[in-house]
Amino acid sequence: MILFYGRAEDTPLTRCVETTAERGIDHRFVDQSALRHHDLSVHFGPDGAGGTIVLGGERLDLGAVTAVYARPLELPSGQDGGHESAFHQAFVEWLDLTGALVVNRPSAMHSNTSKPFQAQLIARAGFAVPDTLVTDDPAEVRAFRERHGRVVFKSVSGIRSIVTELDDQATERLELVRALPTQFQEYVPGVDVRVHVVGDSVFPTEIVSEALDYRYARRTGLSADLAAVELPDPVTKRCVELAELLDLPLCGIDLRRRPDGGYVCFEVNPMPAYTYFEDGGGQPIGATLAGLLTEVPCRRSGRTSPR
Amino acid sequence: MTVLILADEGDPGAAAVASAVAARRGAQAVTVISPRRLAVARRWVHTVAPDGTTATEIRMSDGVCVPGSPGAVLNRIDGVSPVRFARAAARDRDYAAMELHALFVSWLAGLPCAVVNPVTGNGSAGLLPPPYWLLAARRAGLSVVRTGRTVGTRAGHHAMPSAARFPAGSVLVTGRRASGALAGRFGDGCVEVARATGCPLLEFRFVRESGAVRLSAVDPRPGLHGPAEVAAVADYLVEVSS
Repeated sequence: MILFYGRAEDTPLTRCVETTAERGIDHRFVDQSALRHHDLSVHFGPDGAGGTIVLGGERLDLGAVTAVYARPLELPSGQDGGHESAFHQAFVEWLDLTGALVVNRPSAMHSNTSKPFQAQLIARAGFAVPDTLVTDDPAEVRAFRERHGRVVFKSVSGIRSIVTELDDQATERLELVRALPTQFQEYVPGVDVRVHVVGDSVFPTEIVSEALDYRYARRTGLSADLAAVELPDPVTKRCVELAELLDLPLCGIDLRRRPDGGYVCFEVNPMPAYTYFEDGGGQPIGATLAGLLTEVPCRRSGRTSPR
Repeated sequence: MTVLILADEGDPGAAAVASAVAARRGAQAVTVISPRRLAVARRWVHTVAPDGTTATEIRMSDGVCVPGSPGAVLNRIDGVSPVRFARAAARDRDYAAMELHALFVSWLAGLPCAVVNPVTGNGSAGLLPPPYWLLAARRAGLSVVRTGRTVGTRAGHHAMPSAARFPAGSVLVTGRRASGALAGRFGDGCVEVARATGCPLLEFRFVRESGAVRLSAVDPRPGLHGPAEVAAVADYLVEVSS
């Protein structure tokens, strides 16, 4: 049985649920908006990780779960009481420790909690990463900008932030960094390529946009055109190795192809909203994910959690 | 090589280890830094090069720098609090906390020396949930207690202990060495857990339950109250920093 965990309005989750349903595969959807209707008992010990989940009126043995696709979001307002929060915490703990295939384990998703930490792991997989400076010293930032010419800044943590260029106007406000170390990176020219890795399958999508951060192109009156592309074999192989290193059966890898043909990796999204790219590039990412959940019933891998 | 100890000012275990390292290598061989001092540091400069190598300079408010290339780190803190944002709005304070935590993690992860215990993206090993350790111990062949939790009334109570539990002793692992009352019986399994999880400093606590001795908890940040424990940790830090 496959479990889905998340919220019903989350398109990447619901699309995979629909594909699984169309294929007639046994599955259940644990809606975070309805946790007050569900009960849970999990245990860990001599016989590993197990337990029972009660969904509405249906009682299920967690030992029968072979795979989980989890996109845990914040509990909806009004649905975040004691029962719901306790359910969520216990379920997330089970996700980290069950022997079932979990896409993705919550502990594995934490590599993105610190971007410079994740950059170290990315480099370990063989990708170049942008030259990065985290500091609260304006003089260091000025010297960094002088060295690289163009520099961008963004959050150090996993909190989503819009990549912004450190232009002359922003440089005038550099004294503000004294309050909190801020992350600056060399600007890398080239074309963005978002690579979704699903198990051993790789789906590269090229994004052509004038925007510095294509995710927010519309806000600045610009557009982003998406198209499926192919990557050189070594880069494809490196993407799969990086996903394995991070213990992420599904991830979105943000690359940029430089004018000289080399690739730089910015970060790895452990909970990618793949549907945006699937719709734009036409690649079967969701169907492949559904296949992974179905065909690898009891994959036991990973370094982040002993199981 | 300097041993860097990150610990709260009121951490007697850390202070004892610092004294023991100093007794072995001299006072200049150990530096103790509190999270409070890190939080009000005058300057942070942390770089990640295109090949992933890092360099970090942390200058304290008194002008002293945290050793940039220590021989080993004993980390007994979870991060750096955003004390400069104490009067800020909650949202800004939370953001600052996340940013500082991310920097703290990257700094420790990038050090080319032993960090005891190592950090993950989520932070220190001390934040890992108790079942993580029990399942790691089970895989290493140790007998473990049953634990868990129940939410609601309809899913049963799998987590309830079947019998009363009484303390039976502990094992302290420092690298490949095991010490403590039960080291002879369970030391090999405990060392294997330390190896498998990449955490060289762990305290294993056992209980007697229904006539059997089982592992009930693992502490990746042991209190280090006894002189033998302090000596074992100091010896390990001196060894790996040489």
